[in-house]
Amino acid sequence: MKQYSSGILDSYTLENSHYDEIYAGSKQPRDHYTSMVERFNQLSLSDFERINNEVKTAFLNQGITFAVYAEDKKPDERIFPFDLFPRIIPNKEWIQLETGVIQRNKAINLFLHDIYHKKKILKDKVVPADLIFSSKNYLKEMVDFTPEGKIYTHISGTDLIKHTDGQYYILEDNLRCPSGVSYVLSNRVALKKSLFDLFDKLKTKAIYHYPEHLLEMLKSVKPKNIDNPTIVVVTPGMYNSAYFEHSFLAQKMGVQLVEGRDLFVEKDFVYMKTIYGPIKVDVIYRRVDDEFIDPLCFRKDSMLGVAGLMNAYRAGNVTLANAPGTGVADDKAVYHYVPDIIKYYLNEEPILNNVQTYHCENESEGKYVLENIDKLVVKPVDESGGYGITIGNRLTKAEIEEVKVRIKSNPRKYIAQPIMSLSVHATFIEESKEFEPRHIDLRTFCLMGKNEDFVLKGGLTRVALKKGNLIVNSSQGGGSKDTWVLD
Amino acid sequence: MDEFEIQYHIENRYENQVRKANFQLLVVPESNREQKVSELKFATSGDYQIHFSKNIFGFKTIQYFVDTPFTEFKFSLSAKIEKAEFNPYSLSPWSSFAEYEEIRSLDFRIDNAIFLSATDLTRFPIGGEFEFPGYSENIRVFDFLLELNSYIFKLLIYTPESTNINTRIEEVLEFKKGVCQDYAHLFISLCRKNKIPARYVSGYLNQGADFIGSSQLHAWVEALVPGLGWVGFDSTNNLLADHHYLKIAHGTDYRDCSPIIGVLESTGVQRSIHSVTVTNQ
Repeated sequence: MKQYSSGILDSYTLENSHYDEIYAGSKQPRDHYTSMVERFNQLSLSDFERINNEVKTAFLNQGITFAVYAEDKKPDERIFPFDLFPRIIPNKEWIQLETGVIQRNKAINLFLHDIYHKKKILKDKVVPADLIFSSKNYLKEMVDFTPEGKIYTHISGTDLIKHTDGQYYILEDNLRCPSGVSYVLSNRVALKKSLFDLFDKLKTKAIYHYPEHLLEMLKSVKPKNIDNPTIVVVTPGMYNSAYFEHSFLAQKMGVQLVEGRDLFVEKDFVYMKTIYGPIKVDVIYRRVDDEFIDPLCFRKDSMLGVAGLMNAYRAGNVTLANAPGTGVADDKAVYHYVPDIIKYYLNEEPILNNVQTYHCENESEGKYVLENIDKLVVKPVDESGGYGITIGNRLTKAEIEEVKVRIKSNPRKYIAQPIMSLSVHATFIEESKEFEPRHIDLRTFCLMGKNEDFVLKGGLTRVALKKGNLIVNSSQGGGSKDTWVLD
Repeated sequence: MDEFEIQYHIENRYENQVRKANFQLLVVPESNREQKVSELKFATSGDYQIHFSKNIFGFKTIQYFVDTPFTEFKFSLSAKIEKAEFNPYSLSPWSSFAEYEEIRSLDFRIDNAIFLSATDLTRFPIGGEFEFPGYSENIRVFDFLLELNSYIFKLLIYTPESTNINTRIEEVLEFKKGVCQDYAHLFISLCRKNKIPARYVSGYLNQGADFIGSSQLHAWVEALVPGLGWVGFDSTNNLLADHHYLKIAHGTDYRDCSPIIGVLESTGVQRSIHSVTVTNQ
């Protein structure tokens, strides 16, 4: 018996091997999706396509694009593909995610403070010392320095997936000023226009106030003795893949968007050049990587940084968000230890699951990895954006051998995880003009300031648009969905 | 007590006009238990405001922020330093076994991690052939370091301008030539390979005593001897750092101790002349 006689979701085929976000087993939608499925089934294909085109045009007009980089090629500017069907998270499930994300990031902050000061967790052998000291992201420039409020990861993006068992698992921590929040906010604006009635009826949690929270957080970590801090966003420039986001956030917060060359340091204070003369800058939300922020201190050839910035920072005259040197904690080899890190500092059980991780540097685990590459996902520990990842069951024999050689030549650089089965979500595919299941994950956005820990209610649901593809990063051809957290 | 007078001079000439520059100089001798800076004077080619800052290891740096165009930057420092004489040959009260145990302990390795980790300039080449015997529990650390000091002294031929500030250990070992920073980097490399913490030291060396490498800034190494503390070794001269060595700063390698770093808004090449004179008063 067909439940919906002419709905656009009729032709949707369930894949039983994955957790389907909308449907449980049969084509019966889960409770929190019932009204959404009804609403979509009221649309004809042509209605749907009309709305879809409207939204796409709106994105293009707003300039919501990103650039894809490949070796020897010019960057390719694209619209971030967006799917109209929102992903829905019931409130109860969300509360668990939110508390879990805060717990994790709190522990990571304590961990960072510890490894840059007393290093107790290393002396107590909870985390191997060599793992930390061999990381290129462990910065001697941060040793014995305490950032304002002991906060290192002001902005973090924890990535989660839902496995076949219906449980959330942490995929990775992103502690180096992660991107994506501007898409979340723009997606919502676009979608709210087309689905306003439902948005209202379902009492979806608001997200528009994120820039206010970001601004408040940045104010809260101002240097001592400053009443009204001047805040800026520092971008590497318009050729950066996330430039849209940098300008978007600066504009929404009402602060200046600057490049390194717009700032200078004199006598350990940072100033911004303006037509009214120099203005002292107190807090910098920097979207420039550690090694480029100060040519006097890090890479001498950096054109993106500000000479003397680290001196000003270490003198306590300016706050950097995030702190330099946080990358040592989102190293994928450290990921393995985060549950232990949570127990060690907070004396709590981790709320969110980690994916079982094999560390190639460890002799027995490394051996297991080499023998089971076809069943594992192998990841370089220090890359982001999905670069360098291999998925075992997609590899040819020759490719497997190549991966083995790579691992053997530098085992510290690789970890492996079981192939996690990311949940799937109905996604409109332009080629077939039908909804088809596609893998999704969730990037959350967490802010840690002196006064509050805040997680944006929802986040960026990333969709792997290629059929069967598990890598959802936008640089690898992923798209996104709006994420609705219900009341 | 000895008194030394130091003159340090640097002259940078630029092919094209420099519109703006940040200079950071790490040339002021530190004040520590054995040495006291009693007089300090600076001069520059322009009317630039001097600012003192501290580098990541707490050493005093001089900053100049220049936003008027120039083609020449000159800086000179003169200082008077009182230096106490001391015997660098003081022995650790620990037995070789106690030293060995300390060096192998996790806490020791963690507390000294920065000076135990290889850097680009101090990384010992993988598979590099080297006949110098490793440190073991039967040798006192101090004796090991003394042997290492004379080994490197004999291994390399001091050859001005044979290397540059980016020269790696591979190259030093291949050509067996170098200047003081190469001697220091190789010494550091072998200490760290043997889990003995070692740090790069920059400073001035008394020229009256006719040492090698004294007409420029000098480099030597401090290694951590359990029970004794940091001891200075100068393998360029096969000596221990005594009261003739006037320390400016230490760090993990040369890059933490560059005497001058400039970040410039300019194009084209620059020529640089450094000179150092140290006299015993």
